[in-house]
Amino acid sequence: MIVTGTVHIYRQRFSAMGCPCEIRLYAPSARSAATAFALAETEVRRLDQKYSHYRGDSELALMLQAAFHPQGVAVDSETAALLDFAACLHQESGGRFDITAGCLCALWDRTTTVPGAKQIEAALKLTGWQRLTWDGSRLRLPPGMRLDLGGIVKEYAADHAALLLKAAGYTSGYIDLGGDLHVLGPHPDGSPWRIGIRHPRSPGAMATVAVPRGGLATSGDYERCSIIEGQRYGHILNALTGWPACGLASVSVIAPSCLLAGALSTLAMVQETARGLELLTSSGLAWLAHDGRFSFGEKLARILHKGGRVNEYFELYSVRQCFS
Amino acid sequence: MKKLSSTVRSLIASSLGLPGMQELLAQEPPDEGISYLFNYYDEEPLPADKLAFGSPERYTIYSQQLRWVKNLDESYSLTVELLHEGMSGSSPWYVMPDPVAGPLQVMSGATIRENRNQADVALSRRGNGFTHTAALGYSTEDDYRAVYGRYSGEKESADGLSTIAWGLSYSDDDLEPTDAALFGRVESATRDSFSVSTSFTQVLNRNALLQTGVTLTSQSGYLSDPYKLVWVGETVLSDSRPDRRVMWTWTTRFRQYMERSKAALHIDYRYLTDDWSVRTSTLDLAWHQPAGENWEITPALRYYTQTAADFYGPIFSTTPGDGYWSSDFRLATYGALSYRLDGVMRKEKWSLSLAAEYYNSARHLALSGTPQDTPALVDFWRFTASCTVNL
Repeated sequence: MIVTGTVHIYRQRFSAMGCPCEIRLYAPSARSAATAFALAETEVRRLDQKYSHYRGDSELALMLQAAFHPQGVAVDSETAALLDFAACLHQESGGRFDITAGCLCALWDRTTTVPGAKQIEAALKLTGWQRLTWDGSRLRLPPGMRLDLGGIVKEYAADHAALLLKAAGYTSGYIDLGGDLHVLGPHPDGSPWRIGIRHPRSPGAMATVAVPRGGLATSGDYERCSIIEGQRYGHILNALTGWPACGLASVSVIAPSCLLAGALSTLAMVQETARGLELLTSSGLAWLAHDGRFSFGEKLARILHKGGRVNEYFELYSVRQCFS
Repeated sequence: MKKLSSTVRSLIASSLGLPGMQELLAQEPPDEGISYLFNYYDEEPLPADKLAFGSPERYTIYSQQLRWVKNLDESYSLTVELLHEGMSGSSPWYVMPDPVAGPLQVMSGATIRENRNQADVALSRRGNGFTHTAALGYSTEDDYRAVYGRYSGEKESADGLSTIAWGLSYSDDDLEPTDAALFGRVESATRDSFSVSTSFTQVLNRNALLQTGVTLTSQSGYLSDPYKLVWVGETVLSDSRPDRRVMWTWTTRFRQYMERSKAALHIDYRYLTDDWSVRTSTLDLAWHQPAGENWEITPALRYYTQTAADFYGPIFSTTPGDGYWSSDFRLATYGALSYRLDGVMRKEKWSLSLAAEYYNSARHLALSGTPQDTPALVDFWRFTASCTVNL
């Protein structure tokens, strides 16, 4: 533990993984903080470089070229574990969440016109986890398929960068990668970090969440979305239909890891509204959803009824309370 | 932890293959709560054809345990356990020869009634991947008193995929056998026990976990059973064992999560060897099957095999030269099978657990060694019910 002497709060902002990132950290000196920022940022950039689907030179891009070969390609252990996790998400979402939907994502990404039925059909033919061959170490893709690990890697990066900082002795602070956070630990006085969650339909925060440690992830239909003729098309796609998911507008989840929080929020987003809410309600994790109106877990409801501020601004209590 | 849905549990299981994820989940503070456990243990009566004289009724034990876990702050937690045990029945006394029926068991005549009380307090500290636990305990019954302490530590690797654990424990026991003068038993005696252990746990992949560890235990002092006698030549003598025993235990545990059935297979193996020539092997198989939203059902099977201590014999025709002899059936060559069924119901604020076990031991179940006539080998039933309330 390095909680000896005085610590000060430091902040670092940078841009990676296509989004604004922020690290806030208590450290004994500016020099120590700078070292920590470099450590975390390097890790985030390593994963960005490795898995970005925007960069043609990413390790993922190079690997995928080899994966079209009939013998497939051997995959390193980190990528293998991410693919295993993606397989689980695919199964748990009933095929709606699918990292093989890279062609569909490219079709919808920041588009200004609604893609035609034929385009969507063509992209759907190049989509489907069941079409690739994955035995836990070798990956083979059918020609033309594109993988998009965007729904997993950012959350994993937040967790992994946080673990590196924890291993280096930093116990108080958080890493925020475009709304996907990992909180290392509370402020030195033990109070949780208060983190704003963006309102999906209007500027500013719709809620403040108090998190002492663990992951907080938010998925919303407002991120990277396209508004075409007044209709909103979010970036979270239903890989079964080829169209953007049209259930909940925004879902936030608190979990021990950001990866887990992000996975559950994505699973809830790709479902119909009722099924998405059911998934959250039964999850056992703390959550908050917006779909024209707020929904939240039973635990939170009780806290709110005591505190009163149900409407536009409220607080989720600590992760520990939400788990207990 | 609040009951997690099967979806969340699947997500957790499949994220464990990623570096560090194990650590994130393991660093959660323990669940605060109070639990109560009731245990009923009932040994089957000794068959009439194995009984020389005495009561055929054997031990029945009721035990109750109260456990309270409280997180003091972010890194410290306190666990307090209180146990009360009530025991009644007769116990095997000695084995006597019978020219027709072979060795027969003599049981203690009067019914023994005894109570045991135990208190155990443990303090844990978590932080930076380390967990340290220190505990003190005290156990007392009419003729027995033990004070013990233990320390254990745990450290996770930086990638969170492996854990090293270590521990030390010490126990100081005092005996004051009842009716010592009447039966010529030792009036008072002491024994102490010291053990060190270490283990290593490795996440093999997202669905499998392997743990292996060794423990060294050294006991010294009065290790004989003051209530047992042994037929030696033409007379009966007090149970007499060496005053030192060194045991090595090797344990391996394997956990495999089955994605299709969302169940977990647990395979545990334990090997023990000591300088009394006792060798034991235990293989435990358990299948943890979630059923419905709230239940988990676990059928389990355990096989146990043991070779006898080198001073064990049901009856000694001549006095052994080294001065050691015992006819305690627990030191004989035998094997045992036990069948267990556990059911746990987990709700948001509480959980209920029920378990039943049947244990059957016999000399022909021994895998190796030379089985001798051991009439006191026991069969028993055990029923357990427990309830935990999360605070």
